[in-house]
Amino acid sequence: MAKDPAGRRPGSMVQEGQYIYCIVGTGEARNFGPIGIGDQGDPVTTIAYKDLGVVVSSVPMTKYVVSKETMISHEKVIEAVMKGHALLPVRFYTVAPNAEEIRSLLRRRYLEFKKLLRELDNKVELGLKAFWRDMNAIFQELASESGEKNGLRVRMANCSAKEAGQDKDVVSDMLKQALEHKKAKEKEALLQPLRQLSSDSCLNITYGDDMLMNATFLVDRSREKEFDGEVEELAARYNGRIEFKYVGPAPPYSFVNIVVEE
Amino acid sequence: MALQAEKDTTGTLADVIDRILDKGLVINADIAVSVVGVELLGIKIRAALASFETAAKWGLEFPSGTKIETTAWQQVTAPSGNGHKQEEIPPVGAR
Repeated sequence: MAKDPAGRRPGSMVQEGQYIYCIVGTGEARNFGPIGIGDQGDPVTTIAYKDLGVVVSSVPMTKYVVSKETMISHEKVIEAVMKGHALLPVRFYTVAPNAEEIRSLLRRRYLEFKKLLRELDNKVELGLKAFWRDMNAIFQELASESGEKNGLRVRMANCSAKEAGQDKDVVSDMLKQALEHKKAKEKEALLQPLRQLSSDSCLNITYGDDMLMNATFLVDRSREKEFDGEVEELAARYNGRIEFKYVGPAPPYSFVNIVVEE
Repeated sequence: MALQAEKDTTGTLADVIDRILDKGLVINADIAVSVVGVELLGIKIRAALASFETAAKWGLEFPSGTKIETTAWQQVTAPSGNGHKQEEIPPVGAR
């Protein structure tokens, strides 16, 4: 889209910035198509310094819009770039005022970015979440495992009978602790074989009572099939007890931990 | 029988959303207007997303601790658990 000298869209008084998706290991100009964030058909291109490039598109420097659509755009662009390049994904909604600032960033962090790109080359991120299928059964196991020892079962029964405020909190805490302990134990058994097939792994926050593992693995492309096979084996072994949600290959979000502060 | 852990390669938003928001290269320099990094915003986004159909089920539920009102709780405390099964979770490939 044509812009006036101040970098504004025709008819707009708003300054345009460069939305940053990711960093790639090529200094050649690339155009990934009119798939830029914001639904205006902005072309996604690269800004280069030496043999590094930052993948960007224009956005107005106004209030950002947090929506399902903007997040999908962000993800879609990175996935399109990922087809042909190793990349360092940048966190959602990072905008630079102009291209010069981006080149300056690449100049200052050149070696660091190069090193990480090399480490991530030919590797993919695979996500594996594990959920207990039947929470009734899990709660019953908890009650019989820890219940006898500290009276959890009795207190649970009393508590539900009288709906007592304070007692309810105490029991709730106890139960939560017991559940976390159980999660940790079962998670280790799942992780052990998967760690052997990956270069790195990352444990993320679990959401809800039934999610016992939320992990991402950095896997060399040559071992991806092997890793698939191991996940299938786990799924077969825990069939009926644990449901797995296996997603990938994704950009290596979990394994890029650079923070640029200045 | 269908594979239990079929790999989903379509990159559904619900599955990578926590990573988009919490991971990746962070640029807090003067040059960049990085709107995420403020935890509050992350929470806001999660709340907005929690209403997305599958998202809630698959990981965007708030970690609110153990809910005492859940069916599971009541069935544990009931005199005789009737072994009633929870609603079937759809197979992975179906989404």
